[in-house]
Amino acid sequence: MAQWKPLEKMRYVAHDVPRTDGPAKVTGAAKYTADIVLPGMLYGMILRSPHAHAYVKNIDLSGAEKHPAVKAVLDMNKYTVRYYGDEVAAVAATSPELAEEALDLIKVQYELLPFVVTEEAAMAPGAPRIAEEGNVSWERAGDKAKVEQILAGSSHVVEADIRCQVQVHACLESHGAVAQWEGDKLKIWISTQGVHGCREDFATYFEIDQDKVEVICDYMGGGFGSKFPVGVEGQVAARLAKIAGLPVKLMLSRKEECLAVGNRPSANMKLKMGGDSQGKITALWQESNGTGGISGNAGFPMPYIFAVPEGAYYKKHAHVRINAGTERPFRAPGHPMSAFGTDIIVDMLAEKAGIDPLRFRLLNDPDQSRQKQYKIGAERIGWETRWNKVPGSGSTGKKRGVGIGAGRWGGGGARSTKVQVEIFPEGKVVVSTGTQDLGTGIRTLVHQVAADILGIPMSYVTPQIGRTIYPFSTGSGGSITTGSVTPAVNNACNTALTRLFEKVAPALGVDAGDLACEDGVIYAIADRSKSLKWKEATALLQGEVLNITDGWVEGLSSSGVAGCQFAEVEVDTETGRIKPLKYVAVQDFGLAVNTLTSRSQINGAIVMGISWCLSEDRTMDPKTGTMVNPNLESYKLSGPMEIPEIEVIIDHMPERGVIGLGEPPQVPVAGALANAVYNATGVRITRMPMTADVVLQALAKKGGA
Amino acid sequence: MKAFSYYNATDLKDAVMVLGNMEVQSLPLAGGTDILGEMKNRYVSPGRLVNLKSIPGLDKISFGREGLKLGALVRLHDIAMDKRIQKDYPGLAQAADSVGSPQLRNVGTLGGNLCQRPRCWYYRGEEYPCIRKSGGICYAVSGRNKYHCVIGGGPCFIVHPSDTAPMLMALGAKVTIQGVKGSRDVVMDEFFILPEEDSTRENILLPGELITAVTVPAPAKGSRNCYLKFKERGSRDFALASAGASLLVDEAGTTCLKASLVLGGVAPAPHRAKEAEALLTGKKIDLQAVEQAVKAALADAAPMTENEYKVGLARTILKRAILRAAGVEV
Ligand SMILES: Cc1cc2nc3c(=O)[nH]c(=O)nc-3n(C[C@H](O)[C@H](O)[C@H](O)COP(=O)(O)OP(=O)(O)OC[C@H]3O[C@@H](n4cnc5c(N)ncnc54)[C@H](O)[C@@H]3O)c2cc1C
Ligand code: SF4
Repeated sequence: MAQWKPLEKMRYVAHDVPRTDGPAKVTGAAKYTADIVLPGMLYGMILRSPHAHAYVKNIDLSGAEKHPAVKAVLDMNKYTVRYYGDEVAAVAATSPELAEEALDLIKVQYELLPFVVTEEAAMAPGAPRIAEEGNVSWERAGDKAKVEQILAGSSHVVEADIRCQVQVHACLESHGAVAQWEGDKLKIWISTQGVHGCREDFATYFEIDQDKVEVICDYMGGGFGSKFPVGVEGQVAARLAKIAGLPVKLMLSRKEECLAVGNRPSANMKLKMGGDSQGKITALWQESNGTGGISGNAGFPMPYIFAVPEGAYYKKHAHVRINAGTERPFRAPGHPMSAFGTDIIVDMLAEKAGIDPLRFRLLNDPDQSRQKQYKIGAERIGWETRWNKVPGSGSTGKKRGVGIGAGRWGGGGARSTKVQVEIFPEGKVVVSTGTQDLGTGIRTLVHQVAADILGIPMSYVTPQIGRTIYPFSTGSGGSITTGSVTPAVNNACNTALTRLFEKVAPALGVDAGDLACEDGVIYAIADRSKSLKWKEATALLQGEVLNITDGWVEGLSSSGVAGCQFAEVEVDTETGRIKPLKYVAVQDFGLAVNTLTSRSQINGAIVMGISWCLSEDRTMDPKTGTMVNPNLESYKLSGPMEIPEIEVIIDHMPERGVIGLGEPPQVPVAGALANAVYNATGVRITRMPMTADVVLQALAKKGGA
Repeated sequence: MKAFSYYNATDLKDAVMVLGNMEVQSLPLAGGTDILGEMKNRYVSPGRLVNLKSIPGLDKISFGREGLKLGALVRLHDIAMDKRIQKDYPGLAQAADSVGSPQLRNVGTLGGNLCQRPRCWYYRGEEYPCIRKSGGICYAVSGRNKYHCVIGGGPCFIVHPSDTAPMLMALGAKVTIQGVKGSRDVVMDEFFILPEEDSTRENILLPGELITAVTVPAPAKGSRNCYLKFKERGSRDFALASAGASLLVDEAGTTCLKASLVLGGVAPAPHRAKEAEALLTGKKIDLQAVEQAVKAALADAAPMTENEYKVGLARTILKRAILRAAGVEV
């Protein structure tokens, strides 16, 4: 099995390395999909249903077809539209404004159907059936009677009513593509988490061979799970371009982003947890529902983090369909909800059992990594002095408190990734792989790993990613990009280096196997005086370009990570404002290839988690069936004022190899915050978002603070 | 956004003439931070925009015997950063500084801030032909109304979104209005209107009329003021509740001789808290007196299904604004 080079031999890996593409991004030199402009390019736009549920009785495209600026019109052939924002038709015209004008000329006759846009309404007796399969599909586990019996026999039982709302991805770059056909060949720039997956999707969709499709995503502005499939918007762009015989750009608006390209499902759970006199968890009881929009899919893993004895878990969960856009994977799908519910109920049980929640976790959490992490985090946040033994006992007015949350995730690597290394006679090295950088920094990681494995400065290396002309790599999901790509880079660079050594060994009069390269110097291990500078060595290639493609190898990556977070908040009990003051995040993810981009991931995840917990709310109107806030004014993302001091502690385990970090730090954020709010105020808030009105109502219910 | 034509006004007279020409529906354009959003969402689609920024001289801040005079095109950033405004009318600088984000304040003007349209999410969507858009119903009544008004509503239930308006009203400012027939001055208290009077506009301006300036009386001896805004999200957001407090205190600085208190975020127009003003006048300003006074504010509030929280919140913000204006530490 392969092994990483010893860390002390690496100049870049496990260090803070600024982003390779940082300057290009901040100067605008980096071209995103939306920046692409091609000669003769048209602008595509989609006509969407203004109704939550309706039959399309008739659609008259003639008005749009006659518009002089319109070069292509597309009927989506829908008989039924099933949510506000569902696609109905599309046009391509010579400017975005004219495309919009043309959409107005399409006349659609709808026959309105009853709709439901909340879980409650969808599950109510007599609710209109919005899908053939029914509105609800059930998922069950365990024996209710038996679990209730265990609870009845437990020393302590707590109950909580938890609500996690739907969250939309809100990628700063919207979904979209620029499509160009040359004969039967499709070239498409698309904002995606998987260039190769898109190639396959397009090939399947248009029934052409994969080699006829070239997908490009040099830079992208976030996906968070919502940008795997080419999506209706990608298909439409390519179809319009085909019809028009001209390139078409189709980028979605913020409103479309909110309605139609995915979201994190809701999770509403009634939980009961029992504990014995020693503070050990005895049982977990769960009745819950959630909605993933029209597809219904809304699961989350339970029991979570903590050990619940065999046979002591009962679950009845409803996956609920509503007339709203379908869910898509979203940064650690399911886990943030599992953690939010679990972190709260465990905090409650600890209190009931009269045990400090930190000790309670140490008692019940079977994970060895987290056992260590809890202690590190507690020390950093100052648990002993900052945790209010009596919740809400701090000063009046603005109250402070601390809380804990925990999470886990898989990560790992996919064997299919291949990397090409080209060493040019002038010393330059180009490393190419068809992965894509969602903003996590994989371009930089490719760059630094290649430099370290070859033993040369990063300035000699050019990383190339984001295109299907480069060797195959997997989609970026499940936090597997680093675990897939860096082992392949490592392996391909080692192979290339061996080949280079073979070329230069005769000149040094040693065996290739006796050579090494460090700091840009190739030398004989036994006799350092026998050496060549990198560029002297590559010059020996004599016009030939050394070109190696090699793949992922076992031993350099693994999977399974743990983490915990401690939050300190301040709650203004008169206004209901929750202000996160500080987060301490302790996270393992094996070998931290780049400590700077790693901290950046964790910072970002904490901001995103706070945003979900405190302010984001997809507000559905049951009367009209619409989302009333499909914009970034009233769908409120955290801004600078919500961001606390964040202390990241990387629980470094280089011996485990690379694992991946994109998702896990998102998991514990909201639970830690909720527990901190309780510790500050003595009032349990178990529903998100914890906006001022929610907090004020909760405080009022408890008779003020 | 629908197609429109664009006209650079040369002077005020030209502007009102063009705006008053009813052949093409024309709307004034200042910074554009509000109206462009309206046009993009396609429920406002003027045939012509009349650019006011091409008119010279409307962007001046001056101090005279009458007090502070602000041209309609003065940018919010300039109000927030003006040293003399910060000293004489700290509440006004605070109000301007609380608007949106730095980018918005760099572009947004005072006139535009006072004349901006409501943020009601039904109003802002082309799908909802509500009363304010001359349609038949108010969607907020039976729909989602967490950000709507708790007093002064019906048949429309917006809140007035401006941050400068409550403070200017508390300071006793007046606006200068230019129409085809000439110009007139109106005190702030009479500038805004409630939906019961007309639910399709938020102020007395007739089509074609413009605000040209705002004048704030010179500060009297013993005057103190403060603007406080509570946002659901600490970063850029409109007010859930805000308060402009302008006090006249005695020489000792402890007794309130006169109180002018105006709430934002609770009503379709800036809402003068008359009951609280009366209760505070003549009182020694301490926590107890202020708490007593603010309890009387919004006594007639009629919250909707999702916004009862605003009543208490607005009282808290008013309390804090008064205490801060008076310089009372609690
Ligand atoms: C994301 C966002 C956040 C915002 N946050 C806030 C906030 O927190 N607080 C706040 O108060 N506002 C806020 N605003 C609203 C707005 O940006 C500001 O109020 C700004 O001051 C408007 O000024 P403007 O010059 O850009 O107006 P414009 O958009 O040019 O005009 C606004 C309206 O007033 C009319 N108008 C402009 N000038 C005149 C005049 N002199 N006479 C008559 N009519 C005129 C226009 O026809 C238009 O209807 C926000 C806006 C956005 C987009
Ligand atoms: S509150 Fe006013 S603007 Fe909003 S929906 Fe009702 S009538 Fe329209």
